[in-house]
Amino acid sequence: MTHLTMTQILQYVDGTADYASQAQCTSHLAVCERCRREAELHKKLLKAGRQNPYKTSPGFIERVMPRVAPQPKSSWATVILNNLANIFSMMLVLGILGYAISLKSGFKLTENPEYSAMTKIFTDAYAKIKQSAGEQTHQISVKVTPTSNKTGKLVIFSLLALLTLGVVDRFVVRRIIKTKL
Amino acid sequence: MSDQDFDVVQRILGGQKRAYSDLVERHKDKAMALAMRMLKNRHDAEEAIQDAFVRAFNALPRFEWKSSFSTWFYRIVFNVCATNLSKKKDEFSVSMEEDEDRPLELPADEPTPDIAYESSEFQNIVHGEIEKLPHAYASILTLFLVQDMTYDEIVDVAGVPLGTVKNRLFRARTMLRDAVLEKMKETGGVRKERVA
Repeated sequence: MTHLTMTQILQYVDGTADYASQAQCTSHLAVCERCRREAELHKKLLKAGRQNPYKTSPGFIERVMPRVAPQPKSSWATVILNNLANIFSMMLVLGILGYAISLKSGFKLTENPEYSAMTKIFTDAYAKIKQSAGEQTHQISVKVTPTSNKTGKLVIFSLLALLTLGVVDRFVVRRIIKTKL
Repeated sequence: MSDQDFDVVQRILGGQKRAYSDLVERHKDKAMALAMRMLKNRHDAEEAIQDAFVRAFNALPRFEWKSSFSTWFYRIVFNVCATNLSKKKDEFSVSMEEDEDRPLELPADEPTPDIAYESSEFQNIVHGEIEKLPHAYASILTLFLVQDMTYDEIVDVAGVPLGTVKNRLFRARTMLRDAVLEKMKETGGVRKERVA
């Protein structure tokens, strides 16, 4: 038996043979085990070869895009606006931390007698007005505390914390991000 | 795909440069396949396709749509890789003797063995053996298989005559067949003969 040529088999497998050749191949393959196996092998090679095993590494697009369409440099105002949520979060965390530390270190609120006397005068006057209006009154007590000492400590603490966060961001976080890229 | 490419290119030319990332996303992995099969080195391949993407972007205003974007782009990838190979003084061309138009027959005495195609190894072996083919064969085979290009498109990308493309493709597939069968025999992926 005359076998099909490799060219005929490849054209048959690719579907590029003309109608007559395709029919000839089909009838031959029905009776020839050897050519049928060869055609089957090439079909499987074609299927396997069409799979793409290669992928670019992560961040490929991020490396290409700055070379073709560089991002405009942000102004400091834009940077602050973009990071507003982060700044507020940081301030909140720092405030809570500062308060916790001040409580732990025995920083107690003290009552100023001058302010207390003044507030008593105001609350008494308010109660008299309420009474005259025929309403039930309730005692209001307000504690006014001197803040200068506490504020100073908090400002220094906040500045130091912000400085630390800035240094960590500049030298640690950015280095990690660069390493990942 | 070409319609999508056309839309994206129009957006880029209209000023939306960031839209180019869509084209990069769509073509990067197939371009990687071609570059890897030509340069045989991951780092060089990524560098080459980055260069190709930058060149293509810069040349977009001059692109006249005489072919599809993908054919045009893979021609750039092919040329960048070929230039890299020539810088390394690597062999890219094949000899005239190899390009001769010889009839391709089945091996005379050796029946085609029965292969365990379903084995997970088969696909890995196929890719491994394509990588081992000479650049000129591996690149054309990749354009045919992975990029799913016609002979005419391969002619356009590789810049060689149609006869050469057909011949190299058939020879590449024959070489791949032989190499895969040999490897499958070594790894025990060939089944016991069913017919005498």
